Amino acid sequence: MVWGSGFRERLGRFAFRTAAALGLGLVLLPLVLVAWLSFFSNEILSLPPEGYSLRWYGAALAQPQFIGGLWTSAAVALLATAVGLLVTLPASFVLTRRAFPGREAVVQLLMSPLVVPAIVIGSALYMAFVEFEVMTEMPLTGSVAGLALGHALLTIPWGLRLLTANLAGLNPAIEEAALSLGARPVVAVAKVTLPLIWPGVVAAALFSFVVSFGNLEVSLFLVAPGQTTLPIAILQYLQWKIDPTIAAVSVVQILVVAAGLLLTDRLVGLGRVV
Amino acid sequence: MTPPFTRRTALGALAGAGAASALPSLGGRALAAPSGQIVVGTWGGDYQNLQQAHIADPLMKPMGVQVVFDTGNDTVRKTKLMAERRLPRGSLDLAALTASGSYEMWKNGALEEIDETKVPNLRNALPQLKTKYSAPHIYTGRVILYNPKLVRTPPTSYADLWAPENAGKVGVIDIQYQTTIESAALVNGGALNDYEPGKAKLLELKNAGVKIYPTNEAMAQALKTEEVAVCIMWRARGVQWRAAGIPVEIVYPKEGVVLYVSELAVPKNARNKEAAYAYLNALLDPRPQAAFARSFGYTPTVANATVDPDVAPQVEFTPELRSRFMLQDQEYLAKNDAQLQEWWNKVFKA
Repeated sequence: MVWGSGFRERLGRFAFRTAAALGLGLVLLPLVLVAWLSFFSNEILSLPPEGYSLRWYGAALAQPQFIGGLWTSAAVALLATAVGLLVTLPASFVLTRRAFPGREAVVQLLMSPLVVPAIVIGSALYMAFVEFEVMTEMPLTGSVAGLALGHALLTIPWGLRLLTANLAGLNPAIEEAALSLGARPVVAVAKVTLPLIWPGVVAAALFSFVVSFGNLEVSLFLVAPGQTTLPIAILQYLQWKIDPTIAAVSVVQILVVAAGLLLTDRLVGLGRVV
Repeated sequence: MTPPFTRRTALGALAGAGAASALPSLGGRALAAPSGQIVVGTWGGDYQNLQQAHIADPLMKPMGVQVVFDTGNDTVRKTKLMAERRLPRGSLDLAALTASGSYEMWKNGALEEIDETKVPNLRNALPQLKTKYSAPHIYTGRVILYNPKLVRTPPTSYADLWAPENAGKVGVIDIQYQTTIESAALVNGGALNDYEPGKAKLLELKNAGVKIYPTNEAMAQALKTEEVAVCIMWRARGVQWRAAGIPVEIVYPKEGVVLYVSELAVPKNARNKEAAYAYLNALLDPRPQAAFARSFGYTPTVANATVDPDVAPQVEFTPELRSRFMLQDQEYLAKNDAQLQEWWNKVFKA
């Protein structure tokens, strides 16, 4: 690439970089603010800080709900991501490759968890689980499976959109070449199509994980007694206290997610995905 | 002549002694000693931690009762109780609810009538806090908080929020719409069973430049930054905020002290009612009651709880204040809450 050295080109580059820096700054600002607040020594968050302290990190560690919640949230998010992909991968193949009556209705159905408020999904699922129990005497409420199923529902629209977009952009000739060379359809999908849409699969998994990990409303109804997710633990802590412990917990949460992203980057290269 | 002591009489005596010694345990079994696991639906955070530290671990565990907490908001709990009414065995053995929440659940047939013989500590509970469907756990009263630096004349009545010198200094809380309308009604000819006069009064406050905050926490910050100098709040929160360094004084309005009661109730389809009753009894034990008062600033609901002297002034109510206690009319609220909230959202906040 050759950089222009004229005034107009330099001005254009400067404007572009300024806009990019401003955008990035806006995205990062909440994270920086949360990290800053977590070190305030005052119990009620207000500016300017009365001093700085690490004590809120100690307070966060002293609350067993935060540690337990972090693990439950991560386990449920992994499970929901896996279940979500099991639905969205085959669904996206069918929806991009086949035209059939009612196709639009199926798309709308799979996208509907995005339209319905999460609190409605949570309470409706709970009531449906209770009805199921009334009919079969098999309890579904208050189980990790029930919670993961509820979360999987939330991940489906994200997975479906990302995967169908990737599949639609795929040149069908490559898969057809594999088929014409004698590969069975399953082999062609596994060895040709999936590797080609792999960035889309990783992106779908990432979005699914984040949607599930941060969900509050569905978890409130479906979480098992004795367990709690991180968002519930944070909300419940705030019911009684408003000190910066929550900011300290959020910093730990940000670090965990950042570590996950870095690891994913090393494994698959996030630059190809997002 | 005494009968000869034979093998048969000896065996008979032994059997008799055996039967006699078995009686107390048989009696105990007839009362079904609490055991097993119970699920307590409750608010989380410190409210749950204190229950764990002062009720579940020291009082329930030695009985052989394992306590599992189902953490969440009372709105979620109420939905669960309603949805599960058709189940023979519900998911909760106890539900922590506000006074209005438990009334609502009772009216909808979700709650068990409390068997007082199984909760002996209930006899120590303050009579005005008792209901037939719940045990009162902690309570507090509604007060006025003000910043003495910014408010020259200490308020004595809810009416002082409308004083010209306080114009622009008053804050109200969105989620406290019910109590705010109620307080306004009390100074405008209304009553606890008629909030309507409060609406016009609040519109006057709106014209005077009232600030509306979404939550209690946002109000705490506004008081701290001196954006607001007067508000209506629960005394327990005022005590917590003062301890956290917010410069406010607490005033008991002359209209009366309306109470907030946090209760626990047993659902009709609870799986382990014996243990649930034992938990209610432990809840009302003076020791955990005193522990909650120290950590939370709420007031014990039993007369025999001894609060530490350094905490007492902040959490106890004097006999004079007790004579001014007022209880919300739950039936009125159940019928009118929806329209009050609608008015608040569409007219007051518009």
